[in-house]
Amino acid sequence: MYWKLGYQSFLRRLTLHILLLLQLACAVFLLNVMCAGVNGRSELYNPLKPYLTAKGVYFGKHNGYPVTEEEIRRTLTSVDEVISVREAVFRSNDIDWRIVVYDDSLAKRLSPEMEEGVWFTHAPKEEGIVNVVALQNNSDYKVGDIIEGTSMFPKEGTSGNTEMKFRITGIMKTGEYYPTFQQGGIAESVRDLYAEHTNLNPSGIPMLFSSASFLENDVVLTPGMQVLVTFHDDISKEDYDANLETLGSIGYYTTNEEMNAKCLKYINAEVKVLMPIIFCLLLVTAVGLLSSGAISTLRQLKTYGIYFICGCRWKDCIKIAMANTLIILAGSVLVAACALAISYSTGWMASASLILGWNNLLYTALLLAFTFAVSVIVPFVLLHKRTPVDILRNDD
Amino acid sequence: MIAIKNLHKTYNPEKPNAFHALKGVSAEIADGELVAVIGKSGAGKSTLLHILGCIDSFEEGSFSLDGTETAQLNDKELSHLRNEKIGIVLQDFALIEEQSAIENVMVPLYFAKKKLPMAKRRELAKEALEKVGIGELAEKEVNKLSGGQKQRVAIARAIVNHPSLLLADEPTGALDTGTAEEIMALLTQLNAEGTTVVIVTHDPTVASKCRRIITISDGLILHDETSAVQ
Repeated sequence: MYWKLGYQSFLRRLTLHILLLLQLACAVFLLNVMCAGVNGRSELYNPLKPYLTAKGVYFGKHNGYPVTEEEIRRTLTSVDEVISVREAVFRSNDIDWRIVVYDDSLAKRLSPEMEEGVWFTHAPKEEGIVNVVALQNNSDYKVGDIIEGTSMFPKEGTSGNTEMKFRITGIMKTGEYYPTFQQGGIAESVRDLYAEHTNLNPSGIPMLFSSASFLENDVVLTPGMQVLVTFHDDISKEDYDANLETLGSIGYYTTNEEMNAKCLKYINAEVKVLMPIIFCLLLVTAVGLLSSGAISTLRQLKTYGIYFICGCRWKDCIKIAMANTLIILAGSVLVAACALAISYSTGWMASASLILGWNNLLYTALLLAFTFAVSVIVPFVLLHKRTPVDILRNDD
Repeated sequence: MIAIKNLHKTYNPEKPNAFHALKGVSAEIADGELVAVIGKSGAGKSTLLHILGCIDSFEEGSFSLDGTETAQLNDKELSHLRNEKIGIVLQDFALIEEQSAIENVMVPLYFAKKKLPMAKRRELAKEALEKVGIGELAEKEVNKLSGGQKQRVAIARAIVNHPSLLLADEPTGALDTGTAEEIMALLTQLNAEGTTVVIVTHDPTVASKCRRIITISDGLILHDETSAVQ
């Protein structure tokens, strides 16, 4: 009943209510874009956060030569972890496959979105078969397929080229990011440490992804050009400074502290841009809702008086006002959701690295709760202060 | 059917502008009576009608309707009483102008204890409109109707739940003479069919159509006369 009467109230001042609805929809949409922007940027940051929040460096040599873990541990003191992105190559049916190999520590933290299947760390392991993830445009293969091939660089001590089997556990969705550490030692943001899957890698070689522990017993992994190094927490200032001096003499580096600060700045950049806009929009919407609530309730008072003489409780009239407000809120969520769905399906969200997450729901709910509370204040106060007899007498 | 005893009503009690509207009013109205309550402006007529309609309270005395003491009812019970047993018609019609006649008449059905499907509500509302002689205007917006037609819509709304008591506060006050007579004829007809009708008016012509006239002055009943009017 209250929904029906609230809907009738909504229709009676349709233009005003539609304007408010659209205003609120803009605020909801922008809020979700802001959250999605933070999510998107955090998506790249989160897997690397444990490293970036520890003392350490992102490092690459002057001469562009690969950097090995052994070299880092030999050259520096108090080294905790050395994270790198390495490669393996194997041949199957006269096609050379490149495998991007992540250290286990990093591999477990990654979870790019799959078009099908799962990331290789989430799939069950079978003896003798290496779990891998393929790119979406390796279209000849599907989840579950097994590729048999020969390693181009078998480990010393093995007999000849190593025969290997790779099971595809997942197909990475186009538009996803994966760490490559290809940026030289000075990186401006965490995004510099990733590449975007848009098509086959530039050289045309099909790519797979896997974990170091699956491969390093059997094949030689080509080291990457850059590494992410963490030092022990208790490293002394002297050792830390000495490490930086050593690294500075042989290459370029960005300390993890600097990198972390840049990452957080990057993540929050959209917040700083959008928050003032959202705040202003919310302020205007709140004022609009308060005013329209006042105007609407004052004009509705006679109707509430009519409802009262027909058998409605006076305090139940606030439920009708609430129903009217909830219809506006629901409409705004619907419009904003449609706008977000269109943004998602056209690929704009992916291209702008916007990712919807649970915090979108949370902040939208908070925004709507705030708006609802503001909207019902005036009707509540007005209905509390006036009695139906006052209203009916004033109209006599 | 209606029994009021020593009713007192004061507006803005304990304030400088306190107004003692009813100062101990007592009366009994039997089922099926057609009663006019007359008096000058400010006499307390509308106050009495509002109390009879359970849309205002009183601080002393008692009011019972069909044996139910209203002072003992809670808010919800009073609402149901207003919905089921009482129909109220006001001078300014008290209609939702942007809605159609039938939508206005359906309003009491929304608040009925027994929830009816929409089709049934429309059917009952249509019947009420036909009873008051404007069935063909059901879908017309109220703001496009004449004064007399609007008052008929208001009466239809008041009777849609078949109440036993119909209260009318100056029902002809905003109407011309000819239309006023039509409305009075309608109210008289409803009374003849068994509904108790109480009309508040300052118009002696309207009062003369009623068998019983209660005269109120300064918050007290001055006269209570029953005539032989048919």
